[in-house]
Amino acid sequence: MPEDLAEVYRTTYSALVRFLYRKVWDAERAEDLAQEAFARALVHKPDNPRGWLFVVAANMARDEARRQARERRHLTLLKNEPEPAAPAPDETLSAELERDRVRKALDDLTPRDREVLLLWDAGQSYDEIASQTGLAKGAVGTTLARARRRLVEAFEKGSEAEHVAR
Amino acid sequence: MSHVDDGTLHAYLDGELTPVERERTEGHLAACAACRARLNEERALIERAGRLLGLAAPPERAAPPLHSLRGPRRGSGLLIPLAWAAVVTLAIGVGWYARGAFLMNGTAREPEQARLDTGTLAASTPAVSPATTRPNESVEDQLATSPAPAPAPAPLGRAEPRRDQPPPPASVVDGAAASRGVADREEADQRLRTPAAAPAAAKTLQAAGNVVAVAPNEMKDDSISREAAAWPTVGAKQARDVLGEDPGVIPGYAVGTLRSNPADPSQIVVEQRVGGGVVVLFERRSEMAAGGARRLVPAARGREDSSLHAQGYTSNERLARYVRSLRIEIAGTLPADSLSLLLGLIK
Repeated sequence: MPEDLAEVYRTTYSALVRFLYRKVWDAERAEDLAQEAFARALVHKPDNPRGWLFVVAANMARDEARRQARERRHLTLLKNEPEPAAPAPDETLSAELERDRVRKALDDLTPRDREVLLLWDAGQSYDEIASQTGLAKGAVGTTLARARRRLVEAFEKGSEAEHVAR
Repeated sequence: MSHVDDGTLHAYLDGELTPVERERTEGHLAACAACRARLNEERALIERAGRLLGLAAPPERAAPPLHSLRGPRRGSGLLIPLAWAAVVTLAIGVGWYARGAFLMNGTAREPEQARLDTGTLAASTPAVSPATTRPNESVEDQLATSPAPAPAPAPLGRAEPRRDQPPPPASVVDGAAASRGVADREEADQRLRTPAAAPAAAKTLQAAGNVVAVAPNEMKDDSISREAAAWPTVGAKQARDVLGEDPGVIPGYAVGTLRSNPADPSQIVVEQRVGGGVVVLFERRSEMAAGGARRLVPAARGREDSSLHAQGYTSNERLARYVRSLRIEIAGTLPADSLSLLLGLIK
């Protein structure tokens, strides 16, 4: 294997898992996909492994999301009844609730804003983000500024809505 | 210069401006209180957004060794959903037992060399009592709450430790299980894992969408694991006494139940949970008892043959691989990447 891939694995694996987790929302699945991405990198030996890995991971997560959407539709057809209301939160659930709020807030972003934000949070530089998203480097900061603002706003709005509902 | 726009402020705070841009921005900030105020706002925003994303982070777990990720991949690269049932039958052969299989497959080895590897190894998946199976819990949770204590992991007796590999993955199993006593295990385990209780449990596990253990008696061939699931449990000390050393295990994963073959006490099975809820049973035979075990050769060979040629499995559901002297057999559907990981760990 290329020497630098081992290094990339050491430094990037958990960031890639984090990146994937915010797309598939399942820790084990995210790990599986990250490992699959690295396994493919071992075969393909890309020139720029880090960037390549994130592109491949994003594609895998997108395929995964499509598959899940299909399964959900199928399940909805089978069930055809609404989910029961979530039980009242307690202390042990608060972390999970917060995560779900963040997840909802991320869902409110445009795909591009979300992608840029997640790539940045996974440790990618503006240059790397630009080359992966096709944005001009100068637009990355603007996109990030907007994505961060919308994330915080959407999160707070979601929290308020929950307080009102309770 | 005109006021600094938001994008530039973020790029500045992110340390992503070129030196020239940075100098120009700092020049303006020094002269413009309004932009300095905005800078502080944007800094707070960046921190807040970062904290929010931190709330939505997966648990940090150590990466498996990179070399373990190697292996044949499916063409599409898409993983088979882990929710599919897996009956894993691993057979690692050693000595007489291994030689039969290896000669059969043209990969004969010297017994001395083979003995370096772990003993006979069979893997199966757990049969968990339906009573302990809750649909919204992961398999690991269920297993961790079952009264099956895990003795301290013993190192796999390996001839060639990899120097370059990262630390083994953190145990996927709640360590609390390890601290429980051995005493109540025997009867509880027997109760939980009797074949009779298994089919319903397997179905429930499938419904939970986890990697699934198919009950031993749902296996279509007469493999070792089918019997092994009903073997009485033994303590770690007893296993060590029988084997003359600690039983071989996949390093980095907590060791589950140990069992002993009632027909051949020199045979010890170690049950381990690996990622995704797959439970592996390592079967190991005492070297000292190899002579005594010889009488079982025909039976063992028979099992080997019947599982090799078991009918009713598609090629997808039946895989047999060799890793040096290890014979790994998978019955049922297991994702290729899980198999590679498993093989990597065993290596």
